[in-house]
Amino acid sequence: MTRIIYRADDGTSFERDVEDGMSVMRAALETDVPGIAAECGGSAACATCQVILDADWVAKVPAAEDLESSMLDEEDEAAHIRLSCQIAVAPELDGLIVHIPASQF
Amino acid sequence: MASLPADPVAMDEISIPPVDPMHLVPRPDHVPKNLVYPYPYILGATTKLPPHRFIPEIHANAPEVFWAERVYNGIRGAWVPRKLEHLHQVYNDNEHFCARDFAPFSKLLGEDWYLVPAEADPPIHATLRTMVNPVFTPKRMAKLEEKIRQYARDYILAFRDKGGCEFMAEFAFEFPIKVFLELMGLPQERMKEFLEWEHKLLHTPDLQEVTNGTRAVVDYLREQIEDRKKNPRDDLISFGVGVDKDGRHLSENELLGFCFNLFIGGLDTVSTNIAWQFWHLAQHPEDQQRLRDNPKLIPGAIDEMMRRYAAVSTSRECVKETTIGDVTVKPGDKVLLPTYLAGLDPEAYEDPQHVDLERGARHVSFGYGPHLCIGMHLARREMRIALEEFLTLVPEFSIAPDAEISYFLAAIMQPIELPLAWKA
Repeated sequence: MTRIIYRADDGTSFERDVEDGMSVMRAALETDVPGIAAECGGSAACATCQVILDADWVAKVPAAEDLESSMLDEEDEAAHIRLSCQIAVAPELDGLIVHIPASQF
Repeated sequence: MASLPADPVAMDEISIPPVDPMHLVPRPDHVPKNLVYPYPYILGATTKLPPHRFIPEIHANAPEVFWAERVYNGIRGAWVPRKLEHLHQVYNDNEHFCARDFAPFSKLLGEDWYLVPAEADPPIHATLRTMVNPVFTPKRMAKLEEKIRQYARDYILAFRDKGGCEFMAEFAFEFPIKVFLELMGLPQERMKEFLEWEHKLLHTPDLQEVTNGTRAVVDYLREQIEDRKKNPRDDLISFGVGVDKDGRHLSENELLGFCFNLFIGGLDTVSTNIAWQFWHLAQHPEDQQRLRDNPKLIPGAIDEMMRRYAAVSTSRECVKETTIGDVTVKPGDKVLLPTYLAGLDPEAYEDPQHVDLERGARHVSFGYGPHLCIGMHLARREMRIALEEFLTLVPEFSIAPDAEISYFLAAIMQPIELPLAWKA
């Protein structure tokens, strides 16, 4: 299990212990973390599971692949926005902090 | 062979266009007779009853996965999963199902292009999606906000003082085409032609008419593509011509498939969803008032109405034997993906017929999985702006007292006309 910390836009924190291999999106949906729509269900096709990586974690999370990147604008990527369905939980992400935007739309 | 609903009240209320038996594709031998179920959502079928009305009966009596005749292009039967979980399964399963040929317009012309990205399959699908996604991102679509709002306002102000309008003809059909022509860099003067083509392609059971419409659209798009090769501009056709992903370009067929996909995917679907939202609100003044009092509820309300009045079905073809529920699906079988059944699945939604503007439930009205509607962020924006502007500019509206509305049952469930009235 790996600890993932979701921070809502209003400052509320949701700390979750997540099975390795599961996506940050799936873990949020399954444990009732609000604010992630994930309409396509994890195919990087909707851009409604956006999270903002906490500054300290930007270098530690594997970079976005092409398909994910194509769903985000340059300004999104500069702001460290990621699609949480494309981030797989792994031991080296223990303590990962992601911020959930006020809206996915 | 006649596919009429088992609901006795509705039996006589549906008009299904006849088909030349020569064109009918026979039911495969492995389909058990007891799984064949009467189904009204057939290309070109019309009714004067609200078309979602037949769905509760299907959920109450039909097998979880049943076989329906003539649901693929009006000439061929298909498996129909009615439960949300089964739609999720098929949408996500690229191994047993392919998307190719769910809208085989090119076949009518004897050509071999396909919708890009809607009819593409792995591994090329991800490549194509990666190439064209950047022009549909939420932020790109947000930049269109003011232009779309101005279009909506122009339409509404043209009829506001009359105290009523025929909402389909005076707003719902043209508004998305206006946005589309703008995005594609096509002249607004072609509006009426686009509308005519769109109707020929999507609502005519006569294959010759569909073929003529497809030919007209394809000829026009090819002409425009050639023009953009010489004179690139800031529009989606030019984007398609110029896109370069690590040296990979769109081929001629892919380019046409991309433009055709935008035409077929982004116009009538938006018109239809907008229509259902106004159809509902016109008959539910209390919901209308809630949205007027609290416009922040509009985005959620739109999604709830998209669930309740889902209108679209696509399909897949089985490429490797598998099961959906306890039904065996074999290679070559078509599988319909009726979002309107999934949206009213009583196992997925409590009191599914009820519109609860704050339900906040997920739905598959934009599809699901890797093929989720690429234009979703634009469509949501168009629908939200239409509703915001209408509620701001027009007082309480209802369906005109003498209105007699007919509806298409397929390919897209749609009110053919929607006369609205208010106090001018």
